Amino acid sequence: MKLKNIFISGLGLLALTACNDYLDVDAPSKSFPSNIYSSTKDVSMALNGVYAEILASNTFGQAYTYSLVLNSDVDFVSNSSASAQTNTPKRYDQTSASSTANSVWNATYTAIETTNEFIYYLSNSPIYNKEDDNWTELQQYMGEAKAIRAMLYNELICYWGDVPFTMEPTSVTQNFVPAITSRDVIARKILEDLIEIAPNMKSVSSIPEGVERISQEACWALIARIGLQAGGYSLRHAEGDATSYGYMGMPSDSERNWFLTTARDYAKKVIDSKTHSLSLPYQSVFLNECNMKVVNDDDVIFEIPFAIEASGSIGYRQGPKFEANGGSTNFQWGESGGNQQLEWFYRYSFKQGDMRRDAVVGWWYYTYDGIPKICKGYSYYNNKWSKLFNDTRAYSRISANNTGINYPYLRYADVLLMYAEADVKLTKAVNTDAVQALQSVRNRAYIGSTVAAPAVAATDSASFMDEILQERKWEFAGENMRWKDLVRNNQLSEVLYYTFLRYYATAYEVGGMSNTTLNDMIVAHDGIDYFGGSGETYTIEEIDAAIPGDLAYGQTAGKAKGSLLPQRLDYCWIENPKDNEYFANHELPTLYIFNRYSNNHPANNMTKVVNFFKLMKSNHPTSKVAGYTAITDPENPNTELRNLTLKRDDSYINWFYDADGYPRNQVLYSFYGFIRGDETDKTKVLLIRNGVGEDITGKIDQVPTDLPVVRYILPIPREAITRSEGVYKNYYGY
Amino acid sequence: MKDAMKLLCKLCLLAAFFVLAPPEVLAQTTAKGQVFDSTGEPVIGATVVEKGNAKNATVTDFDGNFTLKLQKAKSVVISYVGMKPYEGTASQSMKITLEDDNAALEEVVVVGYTSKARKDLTGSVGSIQGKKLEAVPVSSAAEALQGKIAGVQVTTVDGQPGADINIRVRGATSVTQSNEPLYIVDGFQVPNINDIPPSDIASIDVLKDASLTAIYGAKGGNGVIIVTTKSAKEGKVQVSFNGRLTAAHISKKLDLMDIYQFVEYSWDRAAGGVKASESSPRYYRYNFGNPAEMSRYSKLASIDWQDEVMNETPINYSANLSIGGGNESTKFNLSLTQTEDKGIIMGSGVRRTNINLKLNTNITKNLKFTYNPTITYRRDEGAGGDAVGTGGIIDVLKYMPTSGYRQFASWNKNWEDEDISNAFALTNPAKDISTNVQKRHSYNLNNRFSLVWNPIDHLTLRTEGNYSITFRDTQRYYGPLTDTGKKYNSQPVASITNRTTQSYTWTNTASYDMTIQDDHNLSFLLGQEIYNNQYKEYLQTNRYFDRTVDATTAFNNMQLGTPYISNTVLSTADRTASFFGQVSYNFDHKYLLSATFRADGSSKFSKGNKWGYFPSISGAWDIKREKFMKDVKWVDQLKLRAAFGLAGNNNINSDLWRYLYDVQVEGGPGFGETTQYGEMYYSKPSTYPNTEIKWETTITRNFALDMQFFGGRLTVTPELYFNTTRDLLYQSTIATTSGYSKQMQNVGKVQNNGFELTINGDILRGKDYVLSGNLTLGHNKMKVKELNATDSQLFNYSTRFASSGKDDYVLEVGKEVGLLYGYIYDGLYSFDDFDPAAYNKSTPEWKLNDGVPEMTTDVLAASTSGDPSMPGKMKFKDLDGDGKITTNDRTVIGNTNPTLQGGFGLSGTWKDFDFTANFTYMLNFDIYNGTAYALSSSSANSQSYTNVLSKFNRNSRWVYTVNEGSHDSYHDGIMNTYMTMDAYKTANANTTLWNPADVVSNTINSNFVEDGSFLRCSDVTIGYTLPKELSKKLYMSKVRLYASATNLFIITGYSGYDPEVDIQSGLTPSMDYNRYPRNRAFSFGVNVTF
Repeated sequence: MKLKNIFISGLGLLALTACNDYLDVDAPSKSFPSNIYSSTKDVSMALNGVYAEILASNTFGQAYTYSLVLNSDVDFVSNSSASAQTNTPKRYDQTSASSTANSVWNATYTAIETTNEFIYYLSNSPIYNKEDDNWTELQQYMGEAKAIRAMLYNELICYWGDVPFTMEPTSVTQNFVPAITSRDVIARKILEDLIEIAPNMKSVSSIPEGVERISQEACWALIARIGLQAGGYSLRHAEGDATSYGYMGMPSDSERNWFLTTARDYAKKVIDSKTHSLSLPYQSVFLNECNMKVVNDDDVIFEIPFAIEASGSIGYRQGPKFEANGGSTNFQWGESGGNQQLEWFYRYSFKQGDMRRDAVVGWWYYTYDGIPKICKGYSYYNNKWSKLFNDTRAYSRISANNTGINYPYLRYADVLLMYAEADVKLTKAVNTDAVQALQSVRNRAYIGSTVAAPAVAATDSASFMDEILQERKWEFAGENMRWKDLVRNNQLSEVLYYTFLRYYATAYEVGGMSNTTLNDMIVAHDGIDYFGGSGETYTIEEIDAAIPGDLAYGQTAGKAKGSLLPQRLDYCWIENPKDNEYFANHELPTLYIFNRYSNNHPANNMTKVVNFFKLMKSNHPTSKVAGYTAITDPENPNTELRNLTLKRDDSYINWFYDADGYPRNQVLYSFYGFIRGDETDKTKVLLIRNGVGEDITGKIDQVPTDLPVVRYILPIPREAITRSEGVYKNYYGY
Repeated sequence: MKDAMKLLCKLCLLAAFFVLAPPEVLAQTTAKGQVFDSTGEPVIGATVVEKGNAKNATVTDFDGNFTLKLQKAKSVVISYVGMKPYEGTASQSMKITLEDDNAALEEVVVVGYTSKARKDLTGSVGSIQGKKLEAVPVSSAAEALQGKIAGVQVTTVDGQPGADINIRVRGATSVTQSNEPLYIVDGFQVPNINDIPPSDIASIDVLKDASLTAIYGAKGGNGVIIVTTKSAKEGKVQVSFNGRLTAAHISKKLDLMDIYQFVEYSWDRAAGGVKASESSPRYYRYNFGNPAEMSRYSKLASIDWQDEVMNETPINYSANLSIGGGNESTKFNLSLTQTEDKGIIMGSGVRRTNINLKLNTNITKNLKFTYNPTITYRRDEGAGGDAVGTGGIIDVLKYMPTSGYRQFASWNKNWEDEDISNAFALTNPAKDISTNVQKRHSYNLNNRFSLVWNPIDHLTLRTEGNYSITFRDTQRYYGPLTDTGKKYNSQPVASITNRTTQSYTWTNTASYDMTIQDDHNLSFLLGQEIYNNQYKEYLQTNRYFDRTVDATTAFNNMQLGTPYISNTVLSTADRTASFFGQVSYNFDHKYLLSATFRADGSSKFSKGNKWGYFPSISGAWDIKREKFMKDVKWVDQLKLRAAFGLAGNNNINSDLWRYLYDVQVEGGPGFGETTQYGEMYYSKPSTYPNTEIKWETTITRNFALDMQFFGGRLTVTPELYFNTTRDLLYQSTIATTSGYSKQMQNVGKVQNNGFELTINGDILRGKDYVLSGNLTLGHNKMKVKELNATDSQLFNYSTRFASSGKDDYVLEVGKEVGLLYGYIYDGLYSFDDFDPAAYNKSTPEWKLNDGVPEMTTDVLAASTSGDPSMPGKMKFKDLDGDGKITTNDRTVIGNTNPTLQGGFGLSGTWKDFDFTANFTYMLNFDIYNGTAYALSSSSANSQSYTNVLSKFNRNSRWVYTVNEGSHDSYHDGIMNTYMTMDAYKTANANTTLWNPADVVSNTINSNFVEDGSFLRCSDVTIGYTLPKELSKKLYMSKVRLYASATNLFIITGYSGYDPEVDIQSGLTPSMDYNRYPRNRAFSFGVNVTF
């Protein structure tokens, strides 16, 4: 009977009392949010999770720093496809099936949800109150999360205009499909949110991680950026007309005034705080980033804290290409993509002595075995950052992406120029402190230059605005600014139009089919004579007067096909000169480039051009360059080879296909969604208005009067529209 | 009823008498003789009873001999478990052969916590007896099931020793979740039967429909496989030994390019196209020398990596020793097994050691105790086809058959980086495997006990428990020149993962059976069960070992490296709690009815959804027992069965219903630039929790007819079933504006319709010979009936091989599961497809003629030779007729479901010889040959060379270079100045295949969809039992020697290694990529009983 009792009581016990409790199990190696948000240490780890979202490749890791840097007269990636593509936002050509748009949209909303959750759980946390010992710290955390949310929404409204908007986490609202909200409302809400938290944030000087975290100054600078952008133009959809590309419009005057005032006030706060300065030379700012050095009191206000080998593609997408062979290279840095490049004519826009030009324009790349090759194409490398510039060589041979090089999201130079822009827009006058702001940015660019920085010349608000924009063009190559600056000031259509024409006219020029009227029109617009026509001669190269028969851009005699552009290029291979101004990598062989205009043998009539723009020394290629030791030829180790053996590229600007009689595809199709060659009849140029190509061939050499808008706005991804079950809708002709 | 039984018995006896009885039948009062089984082996311990006087009995001795002095009757009854009883007149020299009782209707089957006579079953059971298993050398119980039971599909994922075995009972009920059946060993639930030595098995039963499986609740939803291991028998201690030696070898090789073809193709690849920079031909020259002197390679021997790496001929062994015995109250059986199963690929293999003890004690007359501990040790080396070396088998196949120039001369050390030279030598597959080591040791300890109490007649109370603990220790070593090693300063990396899994099941049941008025048989069962499973994992990874540290040293001295990652995880416990009950009734074993109800609670669901309720009902009608069938003598059995029931599935991860944060160690912010992989951080869940998820439910409906004819010589069982699964647990896509993209949801409905047939028969039966055959066939069709509200189609991709769009399998309402989705191959673009006048040489640009569709780069990427629309490149059908080949031009191009599958076998004995042959087949199903795709393309970097199938030799491949002898320039490709258009056209006049260098992106296209129909001879065995006299001299009671061949041949049109890959598993079946090839093995073995 005893056994029977045990049986029965055992059964009864299990059945009646234990069952549901038995099924309630812990998750021992995971945490409930309520536990995390009750300790400051854990909150800081949750905040790391918020930062991790902006490191992802579909947010700032790659998308907002490379894939979605749209083509303009600064940042430019050529495209040879003659037909419409689903996924080429850089040339303003994508459909709602665009995979880039889809993955960036998804990642951004994932990141926003993370910030929403952080903000929600922290605000409702028992430790988030004035009595808590860590109150200051927690408020700083809150500020950082809010600033990151603002950054994310700001990118969304930049690229998509009006978007789904919520500041509450999905786990609270249970709403997977938040309503689409106007960009003006979103901007206002995120600005108010930041303005509220900003006073409680810490100054950069009291944050141990410095500019790798968002400080009070960074929050102010972000407010200025969002305000300035919201107070400017953007592409808006035509009400009720889903096929129209829309129009460039602005918020109401009072809204606009509030945005601009906010922008100016908060930029001013940063300037007045004096925690940042522009004392380092321009190039050092970026070389420090390439070498993993964080400088807290100079230009950079907030840089995105990528981790080496884990996140970020800065210096892989930018900088010279380093080809890989089977996934690895012969040098420790590993593969470098070199994809994010500069528009070909960008370098000609600089003024003499501007140190920014040589710091960013890159001329050569490397094959897997470390042999330098001349960059020949439709663009130059953007040498602002490169993994090759890391002196400690923290990378492995098989590394590619994930350079860990930080990205300067907010810079003091930007704040100064934003201040000037907001000020001139608000006051319609050229005020001293605005001029001073612009001037200090320009002055920094001439540190170490033999030429003094030119003084700000503008006297009226319009030309002052132009000068600010011009300065931004020089200052921010590769920082995803140019097309946004142009949108904000409603100049995108015009600038893209002329950029296309520059390529187009030059291609015909090198093809020997000059269109003088067209050339003159471009020269008149740009103020620079690329073609050596009747206009003002543009002298850009520095000329060594000691050398007879000078070359470069001032010369008119003996040039091929009447062009001033270097169609023929001679160069040689030299050992690394270990000179940052020449090349910031200190180990790889580099190139000396010779510009040649004479038909004489190069040995008799050549002058070395160091990086084209450097002051030319009188070293003659027939003798060895002093100070540089010879490199042996790998294929023949007993011979000093290639050292000063000239190589020649005869068709340097190979933009015209002679047999065809038309410019090459890259010239015709790199701005496909706005202006392009006609695929079926390449003599024609089409300007795209609301999706329809207008033939402008006959009037291409006339100053345009009625340019259509550029459809830079991305489509709401097809997938998102399906999942919203009809709540979301695309406009802008998508 | 009783008459019928008598008649049946008489019939049987009569048959036995005529067929088996010795000629002389003498009437004596002393019965003396010898008892044999059907294979001629003496039966030890058979009970010999005087008829009508049960107290006068004896058992046969070691040699099967018995002597019994009869007191009253003239005849004896001889019986033995698993054999038909013999009844006959006693004589002095009886020679009795007991017939096997495979189909005996009285046989007891353990189903659902109780045992039942087979004749009383209302559901579908398939069985195989241990004898059949013993005859054939297989390495696991699961393997032994292959092709033997209709509707049970046993496939191994590939040919790796110890590879996972997929057992599917009547197809997969769930499209997304595990379809693993429930395994019960000796009444205890176990996670798998992979490690049970086949020699330990007495029988395997497979429960197929819900009427039988419902009692097991959710776990039984995919069928139940019941393994009964050999139990001790009363009497003398019995010792037996089974041993075998096996030699295995690769059964098929792929035909890859030889050295000359390869070097020639590599030049074609390097030089053929303007998009390649000049560094590509230069790289060729560095490694292969001057192309004009290519012919020198024809004199060199190719390195065939299949030979180097997969050509092992391991000699494997298996040894099993068992000792059993006991007395009336206590019995024991101890079995020790040691198996070595090395793979045909270097560095792969499994070693197993099993100890199995079974102890039965009758504590009192009505209280029985069983204790059954098992200890298993298992060592795995390598981890399947994708863990051979760095990149798996595909990398071995793609590796160049030559080291190029290095085969002729040494490399100039002044220039060549030492690491690069080393890499060239060390990254070859053989070296790679030796420097890329994976070892896994698993120790499993199982403690099972049960206590059965019969307090009163007819009532049985039973409590049973199973506590299992598994220690698994996975060691991984990456040498300095592996990709992982290169990432860490070209120094070795080692990691050790320890996982301890603990699980227990505790079941309590009470059953009562009664008979009212002789004919009304009733039985009741009530029970309760709890189950818990939880693991703890500890991971330690160290890096920067000295380059001289090898794998073993590193594992034993982790301190030699720098600690890198150290992680522990204690999993969320997976628990279920259940209550169940069953009522069975039959009238005179003629009309049978059974009803079951089970409630399962699971910790994987939120509060309101934890419980699932699964009732079932089944019935049977034994027609043979009806009066009108009484006289149909040739029919032994005719039974009609029908069943209807529900089953559940909760086979998803824990914690999908609640909101939990995880700690991540990589990908956080790199503050201060010090932490290499960034700071640690909390991350939100990867899928959005769904508090609403609940049990997935399958409704099964089953109809069957059990037939037996001609005195048990022929049994035929046809069955039909219709199963519907609703509330499928599916990882659904949700609106990403929620911040999440996936959520587990209950969506959709699928239906499985099927037909099964089992036929067993003795074809020949004579005095000293028997030949029997069996045939099973099954047909299963799984259709999607409903999907979620928003999607009409859902897409999936295989993680092994996927196209860039990753939508390679389609789920569509009204269609089958497992449909391949892709492009229809339409040959190559020819010169005629292009306008010759518009050809632009330097780009190169070809202009398509009107009406010829243009291949877009969304489908196939441009290669170094140019855009995807060029002569010689793949063309697909433009289905929507828009003039472009886009992702919209895809359709269903393959069905991976076999129309018919099953097996057949023959077995027989003749004198002292026995013979078995088993075949399995699957008909009419498609496979995507991803391996062939990889070997017909070159998705790697343009400068690294990979081998391809030899069918892409110069004669049939599209070529870009001129003929040999003119290979004298850096660029002699068509697109450059060294080859004329005419020469180019001539060179490609008869080309049928593309140039593999031109295919640089993965697609799913009909050219690689192959029919996988096959007939495999899975084993052939011939055994010989030594004559008694001889074995007696060796002090053995029985000695059997056998020779066997497994996977002797396969008849198939499939071009890959083997068509049997992931058959009907999950949503992405039959993707053949990176699979371990199957071997062919020859064994020699011995079975000895002392």
